[in-house]
Amino acid sequence: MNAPVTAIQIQNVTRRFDELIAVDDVSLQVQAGTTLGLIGPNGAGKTSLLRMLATLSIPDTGDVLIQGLSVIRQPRLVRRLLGFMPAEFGYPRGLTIHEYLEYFGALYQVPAVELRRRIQDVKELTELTARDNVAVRGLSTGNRQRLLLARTLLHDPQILLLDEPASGLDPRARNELRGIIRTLASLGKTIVVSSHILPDLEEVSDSVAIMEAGRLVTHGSLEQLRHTSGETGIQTRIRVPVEFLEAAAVLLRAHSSVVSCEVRSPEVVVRAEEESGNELLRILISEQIPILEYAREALDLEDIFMQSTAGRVT
Amino acid sequence: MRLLQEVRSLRSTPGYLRDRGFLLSSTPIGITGILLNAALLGLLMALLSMPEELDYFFGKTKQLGEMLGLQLLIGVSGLISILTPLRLTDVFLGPRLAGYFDQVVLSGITPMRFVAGRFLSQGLLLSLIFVLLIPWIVLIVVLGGTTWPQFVACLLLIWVYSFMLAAVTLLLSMYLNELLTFAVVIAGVVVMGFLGLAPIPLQPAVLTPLPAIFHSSISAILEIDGNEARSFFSVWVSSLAGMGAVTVYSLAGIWFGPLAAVHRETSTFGEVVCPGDATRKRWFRMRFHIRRSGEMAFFYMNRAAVKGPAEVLFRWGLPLCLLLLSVFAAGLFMWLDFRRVFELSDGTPIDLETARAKGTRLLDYLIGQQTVVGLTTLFAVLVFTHSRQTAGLRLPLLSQLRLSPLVLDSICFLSLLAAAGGSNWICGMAMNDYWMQLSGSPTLIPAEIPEQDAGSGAASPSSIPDSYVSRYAGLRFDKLLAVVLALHLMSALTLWSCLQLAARLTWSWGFAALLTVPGYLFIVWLVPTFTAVVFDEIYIAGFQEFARQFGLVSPLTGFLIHHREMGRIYGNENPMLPFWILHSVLCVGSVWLLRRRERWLNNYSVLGVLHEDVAVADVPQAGSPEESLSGQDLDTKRQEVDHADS
Ligand SMILES: Nc1ncnc2c1ncn2[C@@H]1O[C@H](COP(=O)(O)OP(=O)(O)O)[C@@H](O)[C@H]1O
Ligand SMILES: [Mg+2]
Repeated sequence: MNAPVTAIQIQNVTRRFDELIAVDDVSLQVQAGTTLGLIGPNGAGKTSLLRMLATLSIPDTGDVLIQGLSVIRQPRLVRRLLGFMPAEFGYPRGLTIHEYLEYFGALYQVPAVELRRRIQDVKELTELTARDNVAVRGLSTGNRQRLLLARTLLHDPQILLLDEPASGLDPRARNELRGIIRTLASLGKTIVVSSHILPDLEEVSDSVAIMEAGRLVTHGSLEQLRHTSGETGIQTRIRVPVEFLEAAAVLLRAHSSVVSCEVRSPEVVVRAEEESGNELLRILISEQIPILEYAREALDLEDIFMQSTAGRVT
Repeated sequence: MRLLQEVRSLRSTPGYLRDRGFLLSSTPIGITGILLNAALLGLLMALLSMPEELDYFFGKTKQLGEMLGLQLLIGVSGLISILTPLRLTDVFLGPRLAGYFDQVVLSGITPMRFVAGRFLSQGLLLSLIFVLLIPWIVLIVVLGGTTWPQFVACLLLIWVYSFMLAAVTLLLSMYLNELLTFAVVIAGVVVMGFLGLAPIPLQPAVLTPLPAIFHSSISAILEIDGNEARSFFSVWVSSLAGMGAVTVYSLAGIWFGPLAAVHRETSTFGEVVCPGDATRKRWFRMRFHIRRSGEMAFFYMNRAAVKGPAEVLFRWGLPLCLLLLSVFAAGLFMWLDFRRVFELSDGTPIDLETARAKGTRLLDYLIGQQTVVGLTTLFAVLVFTHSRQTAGLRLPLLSQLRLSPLVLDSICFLSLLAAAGGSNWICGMAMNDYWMQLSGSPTLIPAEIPEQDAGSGAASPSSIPDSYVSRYAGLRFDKLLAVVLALHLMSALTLWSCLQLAARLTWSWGFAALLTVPGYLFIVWLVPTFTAVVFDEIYIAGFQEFARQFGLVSPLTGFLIHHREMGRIYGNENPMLPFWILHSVLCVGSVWLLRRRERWLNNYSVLGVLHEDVAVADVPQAGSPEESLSGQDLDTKRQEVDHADS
């Protein structure tokens, strides 16, 4: 495949629950082989959107095409292309890990010989370390998420929809999960992964979509988002003694190149149109404001998110 | 050959694998087996250790063996009747409650395949039970006294019976929750069992092994009464055929699935949170509402949509034929048996005195026939009721003709009502004619004989059939039509109110009927009659005539007039013109409202598009494991879809 192929095309999708609009006119595209991070606070409509992609819910208006197949009209075909990892995890009672994987292998109609190999593969891929005959019930949250992911990969789907895979995991497990997602991406899978925790997604996603209250606030690659957030995608943090904070802010705002200037005690955060760091420092120094620390850095996801959602995050 | 392969492949379905795992390894069953066998061995040892007792028993061993054999057969059928529904009712609800039903649905497995494994594993259950019972069978062999061909034939019948139970349970569990499924299956088993034990020459209960198991006792009882019993073979064959038919029908039902379509309100998998849901959950811990047809609709998306009229024929044609058959058979059997009782072998009627003595028998036939017809009609209401979600569907009957489930339901129900009414009428007329021939005089009771006397215990027995038949036959065509019209109005009004409230509340047909029918009965039946009666007593100038006419609106008044209860107000015969006018207007009006509402609902439903397009676009066959979707496949598929769209 040379030209980028659209794996997922979301077209003006709206989903209501009674009065509540859970997903409001969302349009998005995901290229094949890329990873999309879907970010939003709780209740933003991430799950609702993912469930529509997974044919578990039908859009009120609009449509979703998965590799050109409509989730409304051809759910049967779409289902075979997808691996959906739900946020909540139910399982047949009284099964061991191996039985669980065999059960789902049988559901996906993977031939028995093939299945043994696949189970081995997915267990390696997800670094599922627990022994085969351990009951699913007794697994730790980390291993449970791994098992669920392993189950999702059993039929080797090209498109993965992961709904909050990192929720409930400790930092180490999160880190490992990011590793797994990167591995999957390197295998050429198209991945949509949702989270309300930003650092989870920053390293793994090629592009990011930010949702809030059902609406798609912004979306694009991290690079693009940085650019739209501040022209250079760069921000400057200047730390001054607390008593000088306001004065510094007033001075900086007066400068023509400054786009925005926020006081985040004990720092002033400045976004400027062009490279004007020295200029700004000169102004402050000339006004006798002591500078304790000066840093220039690229915008991270959190900054973009905070800016896009205008502080309405819960 | 292909079918055999297909069946073999079902052994790798998750249902079969899990059941095998459970049945072949579970400790409870092992323990039961050990206990059972230990008890039997103990019994045998006790018998053997007492030679003098054995001598005493020797003369009776044959009887003992026969009895043990009978007990074994009954025990196995009873055990299976309970174990099967216990084991299978949770086939859909289990995954739902455990929270992995969505994962099952997304795996793309067809519902039939999902269920088929569990159906097949019924064989495992039976083998297990039979294996556990081997010592018993050995004991029976030792004791002797059993007719072996019959014993084996009965075992075979039990085998088929258990598969039938499995199929029926699985079918029901798609529509009902586990408690209801269990209750319905057990109720069916019990009713069939009772019918099966009844010593009737023509055994109608062919859905239970009991008539075959108890064949010798039943035929003995029948012979005492001087009736001819059917041979074991004919009972066995008809039971086998009946059970086989029900099994096939149930499996077909699972394959076709419920006609549940996705409605805006249910177009999500998992529970939609509605106002009041929390209370409902708190109050009904058992969560009776847990079966959501919407989810089944999502599941059935995995099945390729049926093309052509097969769906209509299966869902409407076949049930209609069966119900009509039941109505006609009831009439025919009654008529034939009636003639058998009241005719001599050469075809001439028996003399009047004997006929009068046998008169009460006549009553039984009438009641029997009417009961069958009534039950059939009731059943038809269930069968020809599809949930409002399906209002937007259009099913192809002929290439051009596409009908909505509502129209099909109405057509079928109307035809059945017409047939039921017609058969009632014809039977009544025919019997009345025959009775007149027999007694040589018109049997209509002279007007001066008060009705109450005929019905009361004081009347001579011979007058009972007289009056009954005459009343029965006196139900003339126009009155029958009135009943049919009233029934139809009720059903139309119910449907309408059901659709009317569809958007706002989670209304079921039954709930709508519960509100509509009493309302209709009260306003159109009770109020006018009551008015007429009351204002006949109280005199208000000018109003009395109005009340008289108003009373005629009610079918109840007509009924009372027919039974000569309202003679003082209306005389004996009175045209029911007001009734006809009102009901015709109401019927036409409600049908019009229905159609309007249905059209409105179509816009509200997601479905019209959904199923039809699936039917065109779904090329690949479900269930072939080697099938994979390569890029090339997808391209061709997309072209086909485009082609279908244009
Ligand atoms: N089945 C449902 N019935 C009613 N409301 C729902 C349902 N599913 C989700 N919602 C509502 O839709 C909104 C979005 O939910 P969700 O998609 O789960 O958000 P997120 O996954 O981003 O946390 C929430 O306000 C939630 O209450
Ligand atoms: Mg969520």
